Order: sequence, then structure tokens, then C-alpha cells
Amino acid sequence: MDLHGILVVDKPRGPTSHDVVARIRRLLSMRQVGHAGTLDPAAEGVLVVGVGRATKLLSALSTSSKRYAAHIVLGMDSVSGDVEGPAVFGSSKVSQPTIESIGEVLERFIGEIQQVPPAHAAIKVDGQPLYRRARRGESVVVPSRTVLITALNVLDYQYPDLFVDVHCSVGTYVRSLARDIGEAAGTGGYLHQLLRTQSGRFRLDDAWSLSELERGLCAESFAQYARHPAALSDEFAAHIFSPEAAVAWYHGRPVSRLEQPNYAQVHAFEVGGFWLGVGTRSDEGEVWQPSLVVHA
Amino acid sequence: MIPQLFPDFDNRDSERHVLTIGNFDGVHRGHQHLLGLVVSAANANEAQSGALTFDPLPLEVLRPEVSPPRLTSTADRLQLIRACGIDSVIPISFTREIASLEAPQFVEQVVNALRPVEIVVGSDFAFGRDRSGNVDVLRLLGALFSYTVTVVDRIGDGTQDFSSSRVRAGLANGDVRSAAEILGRPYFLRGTVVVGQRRGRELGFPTANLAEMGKLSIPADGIYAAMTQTQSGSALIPSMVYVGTNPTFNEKARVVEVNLLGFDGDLYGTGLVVLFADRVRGDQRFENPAQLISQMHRDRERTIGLIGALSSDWPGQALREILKIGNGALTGDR
Repeated sequence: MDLHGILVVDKPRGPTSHDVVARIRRLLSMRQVGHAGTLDPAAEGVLVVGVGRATKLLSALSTSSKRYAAHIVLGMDSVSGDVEGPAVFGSSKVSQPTIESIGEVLERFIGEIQQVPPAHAAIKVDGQPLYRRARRGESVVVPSRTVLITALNVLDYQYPDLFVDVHCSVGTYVRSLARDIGEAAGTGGYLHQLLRTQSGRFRLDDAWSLSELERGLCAESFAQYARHPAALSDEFAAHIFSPEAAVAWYHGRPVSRLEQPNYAQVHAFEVGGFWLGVGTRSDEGEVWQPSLVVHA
Repeated sequence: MIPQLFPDFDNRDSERHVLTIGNFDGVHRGHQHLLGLVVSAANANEAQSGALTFDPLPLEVLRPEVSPPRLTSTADRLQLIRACGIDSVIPISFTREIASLEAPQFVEQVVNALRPVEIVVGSDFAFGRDRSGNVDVLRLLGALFSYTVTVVDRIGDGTQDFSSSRVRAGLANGDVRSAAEILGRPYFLRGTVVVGQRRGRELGFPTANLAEMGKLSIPADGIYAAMTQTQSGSALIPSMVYVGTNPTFNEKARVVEVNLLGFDGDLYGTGLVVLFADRVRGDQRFENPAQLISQMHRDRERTIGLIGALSSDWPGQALREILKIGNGALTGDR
């Protein structure tokens, strides 16, 4: 039996994102399982897992926005910008920012901002992962990048504990944001804990806990837990192909777009509702080129 | 001085707990579902199950003007929670000072007192000052205090979720049966018998008039089929209950007059528990006493019929234990 679909998982603290994938592989007894948007072991929350052909679509999620709840501890810095690095009690200033001044500080971070990734991040500079260099004690100049913060709200604040709700673009380092907020508040600060509450359109409320999956997920029950691959993106249109078009599609031949709406990509379905895969509009714009073909 | 949630609690040797925190007014089927999950999580973790609940209810302290009448007295609420299998039910005296606790302070005190390994809450859970702490904050704090959080979705009957406000709405419509559906047991009132109007006796329907019912919701005006437990008895006595407004006293003062069928005794000053089974009819005006008396005879027949139709295990095991209702309790004039 071929399984294709999306599992929205609530990753607990502790396991790596890949550990979650490995558990699902075991439960489903299949190899083709992958995840979008890595969560660090210490972080928790929404991890989107693709199964079967849906793994090929996970990159669609990499362009979508994220939402986090973050616990920032002010008054302290840590070398790695989070709790895993050694804590450095920084500024001797003991003035505790008021909730009003925290609100003003946060406002400065809304919109397009320049962000320097934490030195321990998994990004590469000159072909070398940053964290390797950081662990060797090399000081590296980390280039800043532009990210978009669309909303940043206080959930709770009692010095030194600041809890914020962050809506941000993909690629935002909340760890760096926490460090920068701490700096802007004049106290220093680091990210103590991170909870991803939304990834693209998938929310924490809709996520299965690992224990729920362990209790019930298997190949036979997969449909009860999984979402259709087409759920990955709102931006994709759905298009029902005629039987003739479906046959052409299976042979890898393009299908005429005719008067289809002007989407770049489309989810193709058979008349009976079977998902055929994903089509990409040809350069000339006249046909759907099969970019992912699912076989019955 | 930080206000204390557990001023008298000796926490040095607390067992590990799977905890829930909530108001649980009514302890309806949604609450029962959540409490059941707490019990099974406690078993799985080899921990004690615990429920923290507030008394008075936070809204009664913070915004009494909009606080709705209750569905259960505090004592009944604690017993009903315990009846779900919870090992420790811990009431927290809710004050404005407690309400001013910041979310991390609140959680820290809970952690120190009860050592939770897991906290199970509904998705609308909020805590701390201005209810600023939500489930996400509770969960983030779990990293600091070493507990996990399980969020339980509301359950319902296919059309709507179970909720206390749905029970109140049912009662406000006199629909005590749908209220019972959501509660998972009949709705009941407790009160003390006071001297009422003598009119009932003169009409041939002596009534015990209830007072001191606390802040409980009273069903809509009308005639109800009910079962009543007297203070001294373990049996339930079929009753016809009149709920109305007292025109002589105050437009808003509701009266609950209980006509215990086939019971002849002095109940003055004693406590009664009235369990509502069904509504016989709404309130009605009558042209003359004769018309009223003949309607009351018909109501009485209808009441007996409705009570006769109750299943043999009514009002359910939990309530039987809490009220200490004996077996074969359905007695009286049937």
C-alpha cells in the first residue's frame, strides 16, 4: 500500500526532528518520510512531516510563515544566544524594564529587520557550517540577513521572564531575535525556550503528540492521522483532469491548461478524487507539466 | 510578600502529580472527559492525579456583576470531581491578590507544592494576572519546571461542545433534560425549608418552600417532575416542583416550592436536595382557584407518569454515592 500525506506532529522537548521522522518510519514501516523546517532538540511544537510522495512537496512549506511562542529571559546573555551555551551574567545594570518599555522595544522589531544568525546556527559560511567554527572557538563574521517579523506581542511579562508571540518569515532565528530584544531592552537576554505554534497553515491545536501517534499510527490507520498532500499549500489550485488527460499525465505528458486560472502550480485529481500529483505551469503558460506524478 | 496559593500546604514530601487546573463549575461531561484523561495519565506516569480548582470562582471575585449563577455548590463540585477518580482535589481560595500573581509565579507555586510531571488543561485555559498566561506560556514554563502539557480539546454531542453556559441556557429555558444530558446527571438544587405561603396546603398540595440555595442557577418558571431527598432519609421521594417568581415580595425573587408526593412530615428548617427529572409545563395564570386546582391534579398525574418512566439507575452511580442514596431508593407514591 502506498501512503502519501502530511502528518502534523507536536514535537516534545528532547528528540531531534530526525528522531521524530525515524519513529514515524518505524510505525509506518516505510522509508519515504521527511520533515520540513527543523526544530532543535530543545525546541518543541509543530513539526510538519511528509510521508510518501508528500515528502517531495515539503519544500513548498519552506516558503511559508512561522509562528512561535518564546520564553526570553532578560538580564543575561549566553554565548550561543540560548540556554545551551554557557550563561554570562552581563550588564550590571539592574533597572528592570517596565511592560511599557518592553512594548516599545518590541515595536522596533516589527517589519523587515536585519538579523545576524546565532554563531551556533546550522547555516554555512564559506562552505563551513557555522557551528563547527564556533565550537572550534574560531570567531567568525556572520553575515546578517533580512527577515520579516509580521507581529510580535507580549504574552506575559514579569522581569526577567518575557513571553512573546512571534509571527515571522521562514529563516527567522528567534534565538537571535531574543538576543537582540534583550540588547535593545538594555538588559541583555537569551532564548530560554521555544514553542512553534504554527508552520504555514498547520497549527499546534491540529498536531498529534508523539504518544498519540505511538498509540495508534500504523499503515492501516494512516488516513485517520494524515492530511492530504494538497493541504500543504493554499496557493495551489486544484484541478480535476478528464480520464484522457489523466492517462496522458501518467505517461508524463503535459496536459492542456485551457482556461485554468493563472496559478503557477496545480494539484491534479482524477474524476474519482484520486490525487494525481502536482503540475507546474509551462513557461509558455499553455500546459501543466507534471512535476510530481502519483501512481495508483 | 507574594500571595500564596497553598498557604497551609506542607509540600516537602509531595508525591508527583498529573494535574489539571480549572473552575469545573457543573463538572459536566466535558470536564468529566478531561478529568478521566488526568486519571489515566496519572496511572501511566505512576503518579497521583490532582485537580486544582478555585473557590470562589475567579469571575465571582473579579467581576461579580457579570458572574453567572453556579451549577454546583463548592462542596458538590469537589465531590463530583473526586467521583471522576481524582486522588486529590485541592481548592484554592481565590482572591484579588491571587489574581495578581504573574504566570511564572503561579506555576512556580504549583510546581513546588505538587511536583507535576504533566499538566492537563482545556484549550481555553488561561491563568495569572489578567489571564495573560495561556497554554503556550504554560508549556514554555514546562521547560523550566520539568513538566509536560497536554491540551484537551472540548468534546460535544455532535451539534455543540459541552459547556457550562449550555447547561445554564438549558436551565433558563426550563429544559432540565438537555441540561442533564450535558451534565451527565440530573441537575439538582440544595436548600433549606422555610415557611412558605400557606396557599399550597389549602389547595390540597402542601409544599416545602426552599431557601438558602446559594448562588445556584434556578430552572425557568414552571412545574417540574423531580425527586427529593430529605435530610434524614436516604430515599428519593417523587415530587412536583413549582418554580416561579414571588409576586408579593420582589419581582426578581424566585421561589422553589416542593410538593413531596405521598410524604407527610414536618420538614421545616431541614435541608432538601431536589433532583430535576423533567418539565411538566411552563408557568401559567389561572382565572380562579378551581381552575388552578384541577390543573394541579393533572400536573400531579403527569409528574407521576414522568417519574415512573425514569430508568432504574437514575440519577446515576456518581450522584447516588455523593448523596448517599440507598438502593431501591425510588419510593413513595408512584
